[in-house]
Amino acid sequence: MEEQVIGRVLRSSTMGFACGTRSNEMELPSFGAFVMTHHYNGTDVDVVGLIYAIRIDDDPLVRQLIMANHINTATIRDQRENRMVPVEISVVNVGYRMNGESHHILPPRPPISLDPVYMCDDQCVRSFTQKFDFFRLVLNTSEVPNEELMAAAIKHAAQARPPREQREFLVTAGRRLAQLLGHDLPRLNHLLRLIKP
Amino acid sequence: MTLEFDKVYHQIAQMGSTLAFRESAAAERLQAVWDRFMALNDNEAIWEKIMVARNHDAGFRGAAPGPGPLIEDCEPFTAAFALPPCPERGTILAADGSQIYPDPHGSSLYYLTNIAVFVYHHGDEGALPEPITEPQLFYQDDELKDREGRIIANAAVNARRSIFEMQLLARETWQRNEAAHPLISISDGPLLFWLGKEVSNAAELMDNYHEAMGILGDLDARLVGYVDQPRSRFVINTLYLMGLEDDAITRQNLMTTGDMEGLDDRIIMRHLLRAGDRSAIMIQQSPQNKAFKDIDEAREIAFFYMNLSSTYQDPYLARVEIPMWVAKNPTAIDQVHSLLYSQCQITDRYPYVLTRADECAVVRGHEKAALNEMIQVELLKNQLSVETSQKLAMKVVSRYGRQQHTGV
Repeated sequence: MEEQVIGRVLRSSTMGFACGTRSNEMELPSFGAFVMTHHYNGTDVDVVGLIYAIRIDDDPLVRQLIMANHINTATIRDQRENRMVPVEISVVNVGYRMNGESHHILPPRPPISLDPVYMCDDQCVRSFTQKFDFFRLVLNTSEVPNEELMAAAIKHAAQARPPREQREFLVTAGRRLAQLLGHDLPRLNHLLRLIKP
Repeated sequence: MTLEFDKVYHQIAQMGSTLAFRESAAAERLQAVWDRFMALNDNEAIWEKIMVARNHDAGFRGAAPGPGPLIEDCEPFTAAFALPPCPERGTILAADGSQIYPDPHGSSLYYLTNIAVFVYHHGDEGALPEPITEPQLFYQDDELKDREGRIIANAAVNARRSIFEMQLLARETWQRNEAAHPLISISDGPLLFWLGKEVSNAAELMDNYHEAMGILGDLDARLVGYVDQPRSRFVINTLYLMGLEDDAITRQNLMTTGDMEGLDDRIIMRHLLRAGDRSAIMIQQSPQNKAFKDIDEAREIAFFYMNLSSTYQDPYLARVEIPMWVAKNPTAIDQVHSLLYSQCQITDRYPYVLTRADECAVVRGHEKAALNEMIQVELLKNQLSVETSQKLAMKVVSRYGRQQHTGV
């Protein structure tokens, strides 16, 4: 696996975790992307999650610069590259990988503070999304924008596949969604529009 | 118990009305003070009076016209100078520092200084500004205790921090001698620096300070001491002096400013200086400044006031202290004037470089706690006992999660 660290765990639970990074290190993470933390406790466990929120807090100096309205390129670079502007990335857990197998249920234990958080590479995403059992976890998770997150995750998973396989993957994912949301047609309709190839 | 606001509320209200009365009283006195100030248009007369005060050893602490040394070299005392054009390029460095004082109740005795210099490449949009920090931990007995074996006073730590600031500023300026000129080196606070009796190795520290100033002088750097929102009374003191007969110029009489008591220079400068203007260059009269001058005439400290506000804002003043090698160079004065104003436009009336230097230097409470923890871990790794003060422990316990018990 090509390891692309995007941050480190700030706080966590079995439901999800938040990781922190610096503003100049946030080119990779995007909404709906698959991330994982590696964690050893007798057995190797990779907790897999989806990014559902990326937050950059303001601070008084940034407010002051905006109000003064004389900001220039050097100041912007200083603020973004020199100042440790914290970025918080929120992740909802959708499964874990153990002994080479993917499990679409909540992980047995959460990641620990300061564990590195990696972007899942294409191979990892393809492997994890061979099955769609994590859809239910995403759709039933409270406090996240479910439909948008589901659609973004499906699109990320499709992009991790060769172009010739992407359409088929999206259609199959759509069928699975239809099974899960047959009782809620407006929601299903919205989701299918979002992932339409 | 916590602060009981109901008990302090009436005091706050009283404070508000007192300050409002003082402000309105000051406004009423403005016209009289202004008229007296505008009458100070004879630099020779001002210098004559100052010489009388010196001869009488009257302890005069006012402002003299500058930069001199000849009267004709001095700027008109009541003049305001408009903002000159800003240099296209320049390198601006600002130094600031913070400290952790020695704590007799801590698990180990140490103090820490954290000095920061922030470098801003004016006019080079592609150049990333440079934050440089230099933390130093002091834990040896000779660093922590004075000759009598007592823990050094906080003032001594402050003094050492100020000297480290000037040294780091000089070193970083020297390293950028090839960078775009002018080199503007800004120190947070007054340049006129002296040490009290509580600082045991004062002479050595003053030598270090002057050595650093000397480096900046050799580089012809535009050294600046920046004093935000000054409450100094140098001009008021001069106004008062000018109203005294020669034989009334005594130490006793100069302990007050007569009918201008309670006023400071802001009352005049806020009226005199439009947005971006600076006042005339003045020289503070004091034994400390004389000591600086005695070491090197180029190190005598002059100053001017500046209004850092934009045209639509109320006046906002700073006192800008400069050594004489800057004060006597009109080009350097224009560079300092315009570049400081330019910096103050980025962050709204306070230089961006100083804002960032302060941010880089400050040691926050949680950082102090983390440092203490690291020290404790290191002590334990070396089989040293970590003795914590019970007083400190109880303070932590009593302050954590303080709330009134409301019963079940």
